[in-house]
Amino acid sequence: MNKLHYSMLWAALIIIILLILFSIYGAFLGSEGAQNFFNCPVLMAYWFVLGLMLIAGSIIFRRLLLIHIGCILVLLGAMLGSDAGHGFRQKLLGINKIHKGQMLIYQGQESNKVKVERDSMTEELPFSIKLKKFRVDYYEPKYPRHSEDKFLPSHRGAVRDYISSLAVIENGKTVAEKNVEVNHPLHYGGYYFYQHSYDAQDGQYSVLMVVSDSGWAFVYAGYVALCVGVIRRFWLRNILRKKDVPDGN
Amino acid sequence: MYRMEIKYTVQGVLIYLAMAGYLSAFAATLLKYRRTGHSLYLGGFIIAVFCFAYRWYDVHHIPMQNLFEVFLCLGVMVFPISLFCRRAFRIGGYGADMLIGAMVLLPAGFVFSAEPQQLPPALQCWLFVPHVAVYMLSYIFMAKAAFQALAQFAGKNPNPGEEPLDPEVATYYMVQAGFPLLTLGLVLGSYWGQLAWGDYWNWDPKELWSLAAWLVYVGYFHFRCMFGKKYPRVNSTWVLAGMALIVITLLWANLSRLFPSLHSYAT
Repeated sequence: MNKLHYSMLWAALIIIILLILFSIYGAFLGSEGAQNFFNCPVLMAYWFVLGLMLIAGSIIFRRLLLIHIGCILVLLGAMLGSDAGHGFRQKLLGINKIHKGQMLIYQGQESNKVKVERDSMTEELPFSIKLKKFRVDYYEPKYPRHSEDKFLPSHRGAVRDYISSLAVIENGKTVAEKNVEVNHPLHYGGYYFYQHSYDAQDGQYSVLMVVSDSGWAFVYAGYVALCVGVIRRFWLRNILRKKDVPDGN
Repeated sequence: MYRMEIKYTVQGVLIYLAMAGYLSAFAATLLKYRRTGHSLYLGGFIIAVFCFAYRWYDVHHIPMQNLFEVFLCLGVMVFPISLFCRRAFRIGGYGADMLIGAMVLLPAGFVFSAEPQQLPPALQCWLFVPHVAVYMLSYIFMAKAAFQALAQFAGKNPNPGEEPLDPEVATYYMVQAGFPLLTLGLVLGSYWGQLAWGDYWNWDPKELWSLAAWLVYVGYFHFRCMFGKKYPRVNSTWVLAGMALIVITLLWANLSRLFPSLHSYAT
């Protein structure tokens, strides 16, 4: 291993140790605090350095290309999908996309208004979502009481699922339909729509979370590259061939 | 909140029997009755499998939901993994695996609540089993790696009378076996987070602890790539630090009020 490789690896080690420390610190901040911390200007500079290091790593250590490329793609996708990424594209390219927000829709009505999470402003989607029906499914109660009690919520089983039947309406026409439930979001027009909350009193409305999918394709491509890369490197190449000493190049 | 208590239930008794099997196997191995030790180890494993199957039947879903079920599952997985590592890589530390098996069953038997729960909506997803199972498998490999690292520190052959691999090399093998599983667990969890909570990364404390653990092994690989076997103690320190972070991810992050988490149903 030559001098360049050594100094690169030292720099990589420092970058990795820093990220370990940041992650542990972030764990104590709670998710909102951690999100703010990891998006602050100092950390943004850190992400760019990490990206450059990963690019250098994938150039120098060719055998680990897939793993490093995977990390680069995840980082790139995360940058594109961040608040800063959305703001940047709006300023530079004029693309106005809502990053994250919520919409409250009553049964039988449609809406395109999204309450944006960051500044609580209301913005509009280029299409509307109609809530056809909302319902809550319950498990069979474990210990059925007297039959006259069975409509009381306290004697129902635990909640099994929250389901909103949605239709996407663009230019007056229904272009997509889906039952959105927990773990099954609707994907349309660059946004994901999630079952988020509901009218606990009368079940008259449902609250959807709206999230922009910008950058996600990069993140998932990166995940695939990373997983294929580590399996190939550690299982197929090293373990199966019983290699004791690693070689980076 | 958590107290030691004895479980006078079928599941409780089965767990105690499996623990007794693992502990007596460990004692027999220490006393160099290796065949008896192996039979007891196998016996403990079979009882643990029975307990797992009974739990599955009892709660009507694969028992990987709360900490009681997760630790029971770990107690089942230890045996096949240690057998596999011995056959495939000549990794020693068979006795230590018996002890690990008894140790992971201990909190399931005496501490965590065995109250059956129905799956909440967020857990009804095809990713539930792969995400949890892959993580548990990787944790056992990493625990074995940590044991080999300890043996390296002590400068002792972990299994007298056998001819196992050098502990430093064995550590490296075990981390390499576990790391792809750790990566898969993280990635599958991230994808599941996107489906259930609306983003592939939610800055959740448990996510951050697990990322830190993953990064420690990444650091270990970079360090070992630089120096090979030149500083075996530093290599071992990385692996022990990784294990410490895994224990924090699995226990502290779930149980402490310091870390309000989306993973809270896992207690």
